[in-house]
Amino acid sequence: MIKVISLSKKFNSQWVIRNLNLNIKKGEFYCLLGPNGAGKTTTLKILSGLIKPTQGKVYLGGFDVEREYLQAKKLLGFIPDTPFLYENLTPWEFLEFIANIFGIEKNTFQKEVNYYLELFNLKEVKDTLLKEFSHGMKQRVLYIANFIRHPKVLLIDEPLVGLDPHAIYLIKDLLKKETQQGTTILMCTHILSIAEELSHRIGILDKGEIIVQGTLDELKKRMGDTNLEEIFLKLTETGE
Amino acid sequence: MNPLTIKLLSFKNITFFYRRRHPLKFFLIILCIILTIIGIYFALVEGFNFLIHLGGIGSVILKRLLFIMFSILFFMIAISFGILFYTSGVKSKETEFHLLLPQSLPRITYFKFWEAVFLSSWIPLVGLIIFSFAYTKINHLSFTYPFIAIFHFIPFIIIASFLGYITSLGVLRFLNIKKFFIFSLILTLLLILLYKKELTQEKTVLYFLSEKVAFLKFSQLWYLPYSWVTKGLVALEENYWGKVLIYLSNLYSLSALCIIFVPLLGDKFFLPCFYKHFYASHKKTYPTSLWDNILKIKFLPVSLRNFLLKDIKLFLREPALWLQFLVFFGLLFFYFLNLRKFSYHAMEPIWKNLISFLNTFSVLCIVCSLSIRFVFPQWSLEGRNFWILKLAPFSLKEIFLEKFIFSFLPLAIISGGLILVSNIMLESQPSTFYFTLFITLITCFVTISFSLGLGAYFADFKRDYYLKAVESIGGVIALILNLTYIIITIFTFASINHLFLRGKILFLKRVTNTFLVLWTSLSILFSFVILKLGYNKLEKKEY
Repeated sequence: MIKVISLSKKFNSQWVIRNLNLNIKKGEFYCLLGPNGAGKTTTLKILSGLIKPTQGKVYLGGFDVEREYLQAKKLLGFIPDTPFLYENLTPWEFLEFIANIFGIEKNTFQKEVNYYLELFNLKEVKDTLLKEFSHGMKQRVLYIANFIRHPKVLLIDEPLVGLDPHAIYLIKDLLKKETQQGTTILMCTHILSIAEELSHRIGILDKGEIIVQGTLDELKKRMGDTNLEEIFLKLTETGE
Repeated sequence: MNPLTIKLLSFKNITFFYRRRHPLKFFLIILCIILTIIGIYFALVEGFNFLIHLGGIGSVILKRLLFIMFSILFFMIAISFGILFYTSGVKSKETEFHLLLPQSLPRITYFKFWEAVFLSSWIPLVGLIIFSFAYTKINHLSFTYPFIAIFHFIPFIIIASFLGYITSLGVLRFLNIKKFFIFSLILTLLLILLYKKELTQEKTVLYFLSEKVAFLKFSQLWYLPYSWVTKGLVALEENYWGKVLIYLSNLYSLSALCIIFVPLLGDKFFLPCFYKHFYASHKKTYPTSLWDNILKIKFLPVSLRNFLLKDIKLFLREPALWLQFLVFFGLLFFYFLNLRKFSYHAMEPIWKNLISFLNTFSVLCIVCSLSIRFVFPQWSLEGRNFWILKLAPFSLKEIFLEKFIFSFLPLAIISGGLILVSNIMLESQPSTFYFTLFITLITCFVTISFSLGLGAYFADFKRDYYLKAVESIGGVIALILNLTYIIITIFTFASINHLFLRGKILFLKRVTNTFLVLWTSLSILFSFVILKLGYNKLEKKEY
């Protein structure tokens, strides 16, 4: 579902991604770990089509992100670490805007939005302006905006920033369900426990290169360590 | 629901939200807007009355002024569009958000174009509508005149915006700082050549606003679209309906062509501009600058020095800020090109008085626009990082003082220089020079206090892009307040001189000095009140 071939990105004279290759299957939860400045966010932005690669190709659901960007974006959901929302809209209006853009029918939209607003405890504030919301509440609205359309590919950058334990529990549960329904998820995070708990495969990115990837068991076997934290620290210690 | 509808919905929501939350403030703002519109209308009527009562020459001047006004407005809208397109299109998180959605690039650029058109032209459009109503009243024209005039203004704004659109796309896509300076140098050399050519022309005594005034000629060229508006309006005034239709057809066909080209150009050039300025600029490296070394000299307290250095660096690293600065000076070139042609020394005292105060008014308007553009957003420029200043071991007063010095010194030097150059060009008396210089410096002090104070009062640290603060309600209030202050100042002192020349005041010096003391005291008092208002609001602000 996500195919990255020899991806490289250079800003001015500095390479931030070098020869990155990824192949993530349908319904797989892939977690990309790495220290600060490793190139995780840049990778996600290239995959979402926000930044053009210097070299290499990205395919989402078989569509070239650069050439067939409209088809690719119809499949794509993206949750950035600092979300953009129209601050002077209510959550309902914002979600309606998203639903219209993705062509979700009115009845389906109302049913889905009501369900998720209830689930995320936002029903009472659905007519309040988004500018009144805390970071965590805005993040929840952004998750709803993605969940109502059930994207085939979901890219998540730092998924749990600003969320309370209830919301974290809920989101972890929903993300698991999404993968069971066939959604492919690529997530970048610093929280190793989330990666251990949710992902099918893990990749560790350092200085723009994937230094190791595989299932958690494969990584443990290869590195001879008992947990992900030790593996991560060992592999990235020179970089930090 | 398309992105434009979303913007309208946001506007409706924020209006209702504000009305519900702060009903009194909302009422006061509405009242302030209505009073401003009425005030501008009567100021224009009075101004036109003054010109009409000068006799036959008055109506000639009025028509010439129309040409100049529309040509200047054309370039001002284009510049304003360019800046807003950069801030709300290229440097906007909203654009990044839209690029993630399955929307075609032409559609996104089309929407961003209209957004910038609206933001850059709503104030000039309101001004033009008021202008057309005042013009109708003073010339006793048909009640349909202002409504048909509006039909001229709409394509005029679209064409001006399109000029801003292609210029900004071109500059953002193809020019870097090095190329920009080479380009500016070539342009300056060309303008100097043009200036020299003008100088070698016949040296007759040129009459005020005659055909020989370079900018007037430029503003009347038949093939340039801004002259079509004035020609159409003049034809409308004289009931030449055929001509009106021709000029309207010209305007609408050209604006339709522009609209067709917007998505096409956007499709080709917008994305490279966005990549270059939204992402790549963050990755630049900045070695130690000259300013680091200059400010090492310990002539300022450490807090002031550090904040000054930060503000200078932020200014220099934000092209939207220094580009505006350069554009202002480009426009000034045209102003001075015409100023030398006024043959001020050969005029009657009544004209000398008018020209001298008009010149001071022009310089003060420049001070006003610079202060709104650069001083007002000073606090919003801190953005989400304001907590750093708030937690710094310095008082807010020191930060206020630094911002004041950072704004006042350059503005005082610029405006003082402009007054000096324009007075030399007008060959005015030393007493006139000192008088206008004093007025300018005090006005500098006041406009900066108003902009800094109101900037602090309306500071919005959560804005997507801080330069948008200028277009906020706070920015509009600061603009109205600054302009009102300038108009009152010029009107007061010009009237004293005018009444003296008409023989209605006998002791000019005594009356002028009395008013000068009163005006200075009130100006300083108001400045401190506004500064205090902003300071208090900022001090209480929670993060």
